[in-house]
Amino acid sequence: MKILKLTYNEILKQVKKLSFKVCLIIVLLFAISMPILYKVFVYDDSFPLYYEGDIQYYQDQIISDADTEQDKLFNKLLDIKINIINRALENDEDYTDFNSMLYNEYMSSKTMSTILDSMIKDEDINYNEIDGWFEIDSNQYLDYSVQQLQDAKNEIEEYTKELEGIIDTKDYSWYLQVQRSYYEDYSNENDKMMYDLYDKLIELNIKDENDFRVIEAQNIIDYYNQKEILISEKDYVSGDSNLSYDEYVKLTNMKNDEIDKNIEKSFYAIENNINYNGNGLKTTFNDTIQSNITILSIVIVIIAGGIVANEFQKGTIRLLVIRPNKRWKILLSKFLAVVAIALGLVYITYVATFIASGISFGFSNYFVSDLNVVNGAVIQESYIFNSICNTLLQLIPVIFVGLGAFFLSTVINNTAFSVGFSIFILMGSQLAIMVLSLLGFPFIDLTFLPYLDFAQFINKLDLVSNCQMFGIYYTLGKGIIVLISWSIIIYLISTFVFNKKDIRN
Amino acid sequence: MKNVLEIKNVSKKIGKRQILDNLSLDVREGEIFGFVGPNGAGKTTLIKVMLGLYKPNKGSISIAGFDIKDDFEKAMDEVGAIIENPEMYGYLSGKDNLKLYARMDPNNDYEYQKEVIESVKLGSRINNKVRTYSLGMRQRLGIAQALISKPKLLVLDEPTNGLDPLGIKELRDLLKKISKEKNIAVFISSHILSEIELMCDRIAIIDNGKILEVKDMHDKNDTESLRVSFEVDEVNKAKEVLKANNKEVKIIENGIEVFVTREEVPDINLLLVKENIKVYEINIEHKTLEDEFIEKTKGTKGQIK
Repeated sequence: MKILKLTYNEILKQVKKLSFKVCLIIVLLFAISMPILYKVFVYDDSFPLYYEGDIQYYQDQIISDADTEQDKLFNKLLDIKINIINRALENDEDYTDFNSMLYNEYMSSKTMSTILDSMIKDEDINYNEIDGWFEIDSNQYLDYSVQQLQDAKNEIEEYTKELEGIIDTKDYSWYLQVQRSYYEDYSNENDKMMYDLYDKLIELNIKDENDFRVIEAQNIIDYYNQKEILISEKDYVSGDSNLSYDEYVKLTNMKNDEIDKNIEKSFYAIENNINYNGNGLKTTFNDTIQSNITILSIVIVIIAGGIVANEFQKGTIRLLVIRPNKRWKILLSKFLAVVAIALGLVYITYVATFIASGISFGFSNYFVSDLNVVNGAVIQESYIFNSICNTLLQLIPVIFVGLGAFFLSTVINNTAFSVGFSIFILMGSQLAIMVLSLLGFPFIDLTFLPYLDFAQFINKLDLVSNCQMFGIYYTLGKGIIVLISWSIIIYLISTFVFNKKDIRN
Repeated sequence: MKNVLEIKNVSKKIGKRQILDNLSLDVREGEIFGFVGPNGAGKTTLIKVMLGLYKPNKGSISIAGFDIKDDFEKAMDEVGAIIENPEMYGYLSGKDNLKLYARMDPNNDYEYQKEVIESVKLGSRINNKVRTYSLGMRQRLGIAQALISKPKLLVLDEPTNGLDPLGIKELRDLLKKISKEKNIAVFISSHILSEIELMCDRIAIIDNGKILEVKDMHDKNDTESLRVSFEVDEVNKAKEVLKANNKEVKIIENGIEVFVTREEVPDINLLLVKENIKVYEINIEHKTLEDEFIEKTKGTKGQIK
């Protein structure tokens, strides 16, 4: 009860400061603006397929006094090119694999049919030169009879018409079919998988290039490429890494398992039509929360580094410790206040980001399930619940670093140093690990350094890549135990020092 | 009368310096106790030890019967204090500051707190931020802060520092009033004796970490000789008359000076008048505590400062 009152006092003292209010406004502005900026710059960002400048360039190439048949054909082909570019510009087409393939295909088939027309008329033309300019291959037709040329031309014109229809309807399934055809005579496992994948997408009758299932399919392909093959113990050379073969095996298996899970999730999403990424909302929201926490950790360090030392610097400590409260209670209340403020700030920024992301991307996307793989079966989970858990998880190292600043400021009574050093540790932990690792320092995983960013534990692939980069093997469970042990040591030293201290100023 | 503060054989060393040397002291319920000594005598150190800011190397201290080491919280519950300047949170209003301190008090008495806030006469300025306060206002807010938990003992460390004469007088009146009305013992330290001697019941003089003397201000000493000057027209005649009556006489400007008790003053006057010497003015110069204080602390290291 007494502790609660003291804690309330400490919170009050902090939040009524002008500097706290300024920090709060900055943090809130960030939390609100980031989702909006994401919406504007990341998700609406698309390159046009063609630019006005392209047309200008081709127009400059047109031969003005074209009197030979060669020049006339050249101008005609340029005209076709310019018309198609114009058409793409009018339709505001942006650069995607689908569009670029479609328009290229359309352009070359139209060019080819014009060339064939000229061949039928037996005009006096150097086709090699034309080929070079328009990036096509007309060599194969040079020996054709007129009838054969006519047939080929009809065939190509039909195909052109078909492409024109696809351009009008934007039917993406054409692209899928083309892609599938690359893997038609599959010879290995991978090709067969790809063939099946495109087969599935065609079967699902996907018409739109922006369909999330297309993106999931792309993800599946990417995941497959990331899988690692285990090296046998005999061939394993640790190199610079301090990882033992056992640890290497564990990490590699962890990575491959995670990839398998992701692939399973993507397949599940395609089959059950669950856009579990929430149309960009989830990525935006998660990224913003992660950045919020990075900023908050600095704010928390500043508060924690000052909450004891400032009282000493201003002399207000005197009127605080002559109250009927034992010193350890004062210190505990201060630490609890830091934790409470951290939770409060996270709550406020979470809500602000929630609203801003919801407005930018649609609130309904919050209710799209997360997918998870448990015992080989894909299950659906609440996204909001998962996101709250992840946010709280990421708060653990923030509070730990806060405790570090708190400890330093209690022991050495200097806010600037405590804050500066804590932020330095927070920002430079990766570098510190790498240096220690290079020097062959043996117990890096027992220091707190690898556990100052819990975001790495949310996505196991991040964890594996960090472990491999640092050459140390660690897990979330180990991280929590190590941080708690350090916290207890640090807290006890702080209390001991604060209890024994003569208050001189 | 019960003792509200008992200090027994307290010693404190900071670094190599012996600041307090086997010091003992009692303060009784409801009295105003002055604690006087030159700068560096150990006044603030003793107060800090009393309030638990410093840990003593030796000795024990109890407030209202509670040992500050074993029963810190109970002991502190009975004491309110200002140590050096009453530093408070400048970005909070005076009222918010007091609320913070009131919340730390286990027996939170709202009516009493209102009374305390009224008694220090800050008026509507209580709602202004403390950093806008003058020194006198801060001092008064400091006293309110010290009183807010209904203490039996009020400890004030050099409360007159930096106050103008009017401020000092106001402070004196306020303390007298508080002490009388609420039966609170006041322990007040100062290096300027004259500022506090008028209101104290007892005064202790400290130097070099030792108590030199504890003086009860209510004991009137009639046998003490006073320096008395007579302004007369015939100085030499007056000297002879008094010498004939076995008085030691010193000639000063416009008159003579003798050392006599209070009772003897009219007798001397009569002697002079009988000899037709005109007496224009009689001046009794009290040998003040100040002189005593300077005398007692003379030649000690503390005075050098």
